[in-house]
Order: sequence, then structure tokens, then C-alpha cells
Amino acid sequence: MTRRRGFTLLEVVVASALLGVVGLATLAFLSAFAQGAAARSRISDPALEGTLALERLRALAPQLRCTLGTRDDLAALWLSDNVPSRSVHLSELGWVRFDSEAGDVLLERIDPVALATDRELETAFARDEDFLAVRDDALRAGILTSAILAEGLSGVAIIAAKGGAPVELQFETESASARIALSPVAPEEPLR
Amino acid sequence: MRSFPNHSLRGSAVLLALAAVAIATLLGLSLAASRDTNLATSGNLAKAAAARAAASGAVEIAIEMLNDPSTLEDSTGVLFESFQIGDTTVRATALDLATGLPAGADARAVEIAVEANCGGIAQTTRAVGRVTSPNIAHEADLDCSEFALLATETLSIEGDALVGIWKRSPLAVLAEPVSFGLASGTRTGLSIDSRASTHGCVMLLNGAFAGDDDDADDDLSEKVFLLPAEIQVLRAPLPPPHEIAGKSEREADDSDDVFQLEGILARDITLHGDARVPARSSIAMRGTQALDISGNLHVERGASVRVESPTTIIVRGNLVIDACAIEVFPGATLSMVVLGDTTVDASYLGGERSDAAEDRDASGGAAYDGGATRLSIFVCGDKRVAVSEGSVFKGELYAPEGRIEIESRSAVYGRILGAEIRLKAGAALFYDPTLDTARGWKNAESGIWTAGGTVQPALRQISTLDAESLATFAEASDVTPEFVPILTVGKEKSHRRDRLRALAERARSLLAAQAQLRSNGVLRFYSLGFDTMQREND
Repeated sequence: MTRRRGFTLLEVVVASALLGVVGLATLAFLSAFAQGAAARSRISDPALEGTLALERLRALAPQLRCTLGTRDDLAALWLSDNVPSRSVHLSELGWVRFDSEAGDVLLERIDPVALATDRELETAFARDEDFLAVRDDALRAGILTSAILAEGLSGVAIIAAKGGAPVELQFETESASARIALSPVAPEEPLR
Repeated sequence: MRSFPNHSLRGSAVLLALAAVAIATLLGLSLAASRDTNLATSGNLAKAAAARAAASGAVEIAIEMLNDPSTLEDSTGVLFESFQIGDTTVRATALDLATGLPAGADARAVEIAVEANCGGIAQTTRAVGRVTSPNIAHEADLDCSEFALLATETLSIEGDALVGIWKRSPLAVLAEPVSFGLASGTRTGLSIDSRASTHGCVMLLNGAFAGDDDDADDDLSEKVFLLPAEIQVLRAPLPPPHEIAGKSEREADDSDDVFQLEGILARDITLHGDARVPARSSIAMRGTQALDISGNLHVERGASVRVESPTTIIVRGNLVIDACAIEVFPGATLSMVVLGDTTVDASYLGGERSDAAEDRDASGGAAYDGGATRLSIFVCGDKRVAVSEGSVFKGELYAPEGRIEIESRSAVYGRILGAEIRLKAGAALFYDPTLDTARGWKNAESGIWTAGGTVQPALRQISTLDAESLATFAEASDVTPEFVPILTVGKEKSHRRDRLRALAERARSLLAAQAQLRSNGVLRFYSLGFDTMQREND
């Protein structure tokens, strides 16, 4: 009868130690990946985040005309003159807003379905209208839709135009900050 | 007995350790590879910026090329390709906006699409605009189809009625204002309810043409369009006298016969009496060029009329279309000339519906389905036209002496011209900009206007939109007008066709004579900006 010889104690100890080390290393790597993925969205270069946000804004609103008003976390934009009039209409408005709870920068617009459903919703505004308050009214009416421009930011400040300088967005992460000009190069202001 | 150790189990720990080390190595390499994400993103952004700049420059080049109309002759739509701007390769194409096909010499509005590729990062930019004919001073469109609503006496937009653009029209991207008003260019007789929606519309008023783009913008912001003279609205073309011609055509006694139309109509028909399409029946007009009815035509409830070839229906009595559908198939047109009253109740009239489930959509979102160019109704004389009960009419309504009422949630997708027009509460008009040939009253460079900015005197000498009057105008003014081809049964048909053919030939010769002027073409383009298609390694 053949007697089966098992592993020696030393072999088992060495193998267990190796597996333990490799297992710990693997866990550490996986943990690092998981943390890295989240961290990259928070600790990435704010200048890149800002540039990407503007790229997305250009894609969503390729005919952006000008900035109509700002406050700390909100900028009102004239996205286009799709209702040909050289004046601002509700359907042409958009707002860039920083959601501090989620860390997201959003582009908010009027829901086109709401505009199609209620033909009296469309409104022509004078150029001195309070377009920031218009957004609050639209929010209360439940006719806003939003798209994410940037996420994972610790703070975004909207810096009003001064002395010919354009409106700027200051993107802040945990380790750095960067400013990006929001206004188009050649803004077209409403005529009335 | 001597025992031997089990060699097959020995060394397992080493293998396990090697496998673990391999996994760890892969993980390490992956981690190393992922650390330059930001670097890759920066590179992509730089390439995207380069591609975008190149695309923007290439659009300017393409517009310059289109300033020479010969560019589009024998064109496959590709303006240039594999063109290098710095490190970026660009390709530019031109599409006819009206057809969606590669732009040819007859394209009136085009879309330029430029694709720029820099190191695998692609950017596309588009621009749209109208192509002004180099021969524009010798061309004219006299049917006022550039106006969404044009009245010669009174125009009333009541309640929450709406006038706007048909957003499904391929030329809606031009974002041109919709024009409405009185032919006299005054506000007298014009009534617009404060609840009415006329966003994106301009009112026609007397005044000087805008001198430049700034003036035009100022006028637009004031919601007006200024014309230096009163518009001369031509009367609808009268059909030739009704007569039974030849034994081969269906004929009837001089009685109160009511003819029943059913099945397939495949030849010209003249009916002496009234005609009806029975309720819930179906007819197809396939090869019928003209149907001439001396009395009334009643298309009854639930009936379906399919028009599959270019057709003219002349109704010398009243036209009643009641809760039914008249669909004009691709490649076909339907011109109806009505000498009596016209009533359209709860019906659909327009192109063949691509969505069979679409019934009557008065919201402005109705499918384009060939647009408003397939169907025209000409009303002769001081008659009444009523479109009601949620009807949808996709086409042109031309009743320069008629009284038109659009009511009860009905919608017209196209345009309306009448003496008195009432757009009642709930009704809507969605203008189809493909109707605007840019050769009409709104274009100061068209053949309607003289070099001095006055109306061609020859135009004041004619009063009807028929081939004979237009030919008179063409001969007197050296301007080729656009024709409204209405086919009729009878002796005059061949004569009119000959006239049309001769005038078309004249137009061609004029175009050839003006070939030298091609370099003077003027384009106005509106940038649509960029569609970002770059990859982001975020």
C-alpha cells in the first residue's frame, strides 16, 4: 500500500505567507484603483475640467451668443436666436449652475416638450430682464431640464464681467483651481 | 516496502506564487498606463482645438468656392477632400437643404459640412445659407409665397392663434423670420390679439429696404419687414371654359347628375354635374392629369383620396371635404382650382403620411412628408374658405379675393393668401420656408424690382397669375417669372403647354446669357457651430 506524503510544515507556511502577501497586494491595488477612479474625478486638473466643460457647452449650444447675468453660482446665457428676432426668448435661454451638493456644473434649459405643449409659454424678453429670476420661475414651474457639463468639483465660482473682461468660471478641486472664460469671443447682445 | 513521496503535488506553491506575481505585474502595468490620463486628455483637447480651427477656416474656403455657382455644376457634393491645413485633414461637402441630396446647380439653400481630423480627433462644423442666383435680376416669383400670411384687405389673428415656422421643414435651420401682413404695407385692417403668438415673425410695412445687415437686424428687432411699395397680388388663374371634349371622355347630359368617383382614375375626366367621393370609399388618381367638374365636389366622411401623379382638379362649384384624407404621394402634386366656396372639416390634406398613426397634428410637430409644395388650392373670386374642426392642411391656400377662416384647432402647414384672413383662437399657421424661392417681393435684387428700387412697370400691367399674363410680363420686362403649372382639359391645354415650354426655354437662354455674371453671386451663411465628436479620456 502506498503511503501519501503531505506537504511539510515549512512548505505550507511559506506558501501561506506568499499567498497572503500577494493577496494583500492585490487588495491594495484594487483598492487603489477604486480610490483612483473616484479621486481622478476630484483631483484632476481643474483647467482640464473647465476646458472639457466648455467643450460640452459648445456641443450643446453651438450658437451661444452672450451672457445675460450672473450671480455666485449661476450664469444666464442667451444660447441662440432660433426665434429670429434679435431679442431673447424663453426657448433660447440657458443657465450654467453649480450644484454644490453633487459637485456638478449643469446647463439648464427650458424643456422643449413644455414649450410645444403650451404655446403661450414662449415669451419675448427685454434685454434688461432679470434672467436669473426667470430661471427660478421656470424651476418652480417644473419646466427645466439639465445636462452635466462637469462633475466631481469641490467648488465653482462665477465671476461677473468687469471692465470688458468676460464672465469667468473658477473651477476648484481639492488641490487646485483654474479660471475659464465663459463668454464667446465675439458676443452678440440682444438688440431689444 | 519502500514508500515514495507523491511528486505530482510538489511545487504547487511555486506555481501559485508565479501566477500571483503575474497578476500583480499586470495590475501594476495597468496602473502605470492609467496614470497619464490627464496627459492624454490634454493632447486630445489640443488636437480638438486644432481640428476645430481648421474646420472653421475650411468653411470660409467652401463659402468662397460657392460664390462661384459653377462650383456646383456637375457636382457630386464634395467641394474638396484630403485637404491639409497644418496637421489637420479636412473634407467639405455641400448638401441641398431642400432635398438632402448633394447640392447641384439648382440648389437654392445648401448646408456645408466640414469634417476635420487631427491625429484621430474629429471635429465637424456646419454652415447653412441661401445661394443667390447670379441671374436674380432676371428672375421673379410673383405668387407671394415668401409670405406666411398675406391679406389684401383684412388680417385678423385672434385669441391664442399662432403663426410660426414649420420646424420640420429642412429650411427651418436657416432661422429666417416668418413674414405676415397686408399687401398694402399698412396696419389698417390688421388685428392681432395680445394672446396671439407671433414669435419669430415680422410684420410687413411700408418703408425702405434694409440697406445692410445692421439695418436688417434693427428691423428684425422691431419685428418689421420694410418694403418700398405695395405688393401687387395677382388673381388666381381662371380655368378655361368648361366643355366636354370628345367622345373618349366621360360625358353627361345637362342635368343634375351626381357622379360617383371610386377606384382608380387613370385618365383626364370632364364631368358635367356634381361629383362625390362616397363615404368610406377610396380613390387613387394615377395618371389623371386633370379632373374638371362643372358642379360641386363633395368628398364624404371617411373617404380616402390618393394622388399618385401630377394632377389638377377644377371644381366650378363648391368644394366640401368632410372628415377624410387627401394624400399626395411623393413625385405627385395636386392643384385644385375652386370657383365656389371651399369647406374643409376635420380632414387631412397634404403629403402622404409617413406615420400612418399621425392623424391631425395641429401642434406644429407634424411630419414634413414632402412639405407644403405638393398641394395647392386656388380659389377664384370672392368666395369663402373655411378650414375647421381640427383639420390639417399641408400646402398653399391662394385666394386673393377670398375670405378665409381657419378655426377650431385647425392648422395650416404652408401659407395662406387671401383678401380677408381670420386665424381664429386655437388655430395655427406653420410656414414652410421651402416655399420662399428668394426671387419674390422680399428680395430687393429680384426681377420684381428695377435698379432704381421701384416695381417693374410691366408687373403693374398684369393682374392674373396665369401663363398668358406671366408671358406678357416676361416679354415686356426681360424677367422670367416662376410659373404655376395648372393642367386643364380641353383645347387650350396644348396651347398653354407650348407657352410654358417656350417660356422655360427662354429662361434657360437667359441663364446662359447671364453666365458671365456668376462671379457676382452673393452668399449669406449662418454658422451652426461645431458638433463635438472628440473622444474624452476622462
